[in-house]
Amino acid sequence: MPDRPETPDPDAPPSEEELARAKELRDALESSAPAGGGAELARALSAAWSPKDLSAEARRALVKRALAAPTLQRRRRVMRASFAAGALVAIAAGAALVFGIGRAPQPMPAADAYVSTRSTQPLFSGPFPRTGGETARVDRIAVARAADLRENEFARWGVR
Amino acid sequence: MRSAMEGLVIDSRCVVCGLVLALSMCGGGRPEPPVAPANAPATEAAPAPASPGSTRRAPAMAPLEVPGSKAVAPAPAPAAAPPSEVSEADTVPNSREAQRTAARDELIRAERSLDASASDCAGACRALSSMARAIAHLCALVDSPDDQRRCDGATQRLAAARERVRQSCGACPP
Amino acid sequence: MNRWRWMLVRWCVLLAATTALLELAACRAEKGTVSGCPSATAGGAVDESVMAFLSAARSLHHEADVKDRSGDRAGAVASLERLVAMPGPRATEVDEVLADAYGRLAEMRLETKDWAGADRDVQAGLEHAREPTYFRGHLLEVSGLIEEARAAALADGGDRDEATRARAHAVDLFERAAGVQEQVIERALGDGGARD
Repeated sequence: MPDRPETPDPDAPPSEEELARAKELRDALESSAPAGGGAELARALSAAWSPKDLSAEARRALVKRALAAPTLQRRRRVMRASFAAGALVAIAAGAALVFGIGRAPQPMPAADAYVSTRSTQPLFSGPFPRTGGETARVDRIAVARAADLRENEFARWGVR
Repeated sequence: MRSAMEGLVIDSRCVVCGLVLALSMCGGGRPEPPVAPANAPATEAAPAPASPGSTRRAPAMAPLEVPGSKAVAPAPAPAAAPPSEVSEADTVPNSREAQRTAARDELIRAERSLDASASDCAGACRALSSMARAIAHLCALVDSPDDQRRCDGATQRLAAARERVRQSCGACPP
Repeated sequence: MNRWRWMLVRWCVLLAATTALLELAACRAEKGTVSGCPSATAGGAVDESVMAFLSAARSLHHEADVKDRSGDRAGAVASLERLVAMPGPRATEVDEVLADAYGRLAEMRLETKDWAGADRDVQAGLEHAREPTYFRGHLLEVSGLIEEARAAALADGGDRDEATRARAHAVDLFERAAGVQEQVIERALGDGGARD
């Protein structure tokens, strides 16, 4: 039968080293000073099992730290500034588009020369009859504007 | 919460200002000569060069226009000539081309002016005949001294308008 | 409310406003088009929508002619009613054709002694001719004719008071019609009017 590693005897009295580490842990649990390793875990377990009131000193320290950190205010300020800047950019963009700022002067291609809508009166060279004549008038208007539409289509296609 | 509301109000103010600015400019904050106004109110401003008889073009259009019902394509500008032609041509043909273009522009302007005058006169004659009809009916309904006074006043105005049209346009067609 | 929700609302407001601004600016930049801008005025390019309206108006006027010639006055009126009920694009031509069509409709109703209907047509036509134009003057003239005919009918019926009122109204309308046409002449001849 092979030899097994020896396990420590649980009933054996604590060694000097164990006693020293136990004292360190006890001190760390009673103190609020920062501690490393298993002390933090032990503190957390202890606080969960039987929480204690914060000491006045600890409370003051927390309040002081919270007031000293302006993160919330700063975030609000940043948000407000970003909204204001966004609105200003939007206005500026609109104004730029309206006034054509930054737009290079474009050459005027023939395709842009659309015939616009306008009064039909120049189509008629004489007085209108007292009554009637509407059909003849609309005939003339439709024929004339059909020609205008053709012009615009040609301009749009760039074939004029 | 409160600060969020304030922020929203501030943002909204900025946005409303922007909207008002944009609307004022979009809604005709400045005059737009190339756009044909509804029912030809342009005659109020500059009847001679932009008469109701002239063909108006949409914005950003070449200044050359020919009046009348049918829109005529603007005369091609010299810049529209193909680059190859420009490069191979010497200065003399260029000058001739410029002269030809200038002469054609002049002719178009003269035609436009003539047609605008004719169109203005046709419109004036049409209005004059309608005015005469209305006043004839008005005077036919005279039933009191006040009616008579109105008839007399309207008749005087008609005579003045008729004289004005005659001086400007000559005789109106029947 | 949750702070983040408020922030979301604010961003939405900003986004909507930015979009509106850009669209309005685009409207301003592209006034040549007929539709789209809330403040678009007449003067856009002659396009298919304008032509479609004019074509339909032409057809309906001819249809009214055919029906009228065959003695179907009600049918002719119905054709013109279809015309004026058509949705039309914003264009000067459309307004002028509508004003003219309303004038014709009013005169047809005047012949059938439908005073109220004729007056409605005139009022509707005037909505399409707000500026001093021939069409506005003509519609006022037709309105005067309606009141004149109504006054005569009332007098024949023995209602002298109402007849007097209708006649006075007719005088007003004829005077207004003359005034509008006088303005049209002034505008047409304007400062460059004297060309002799």
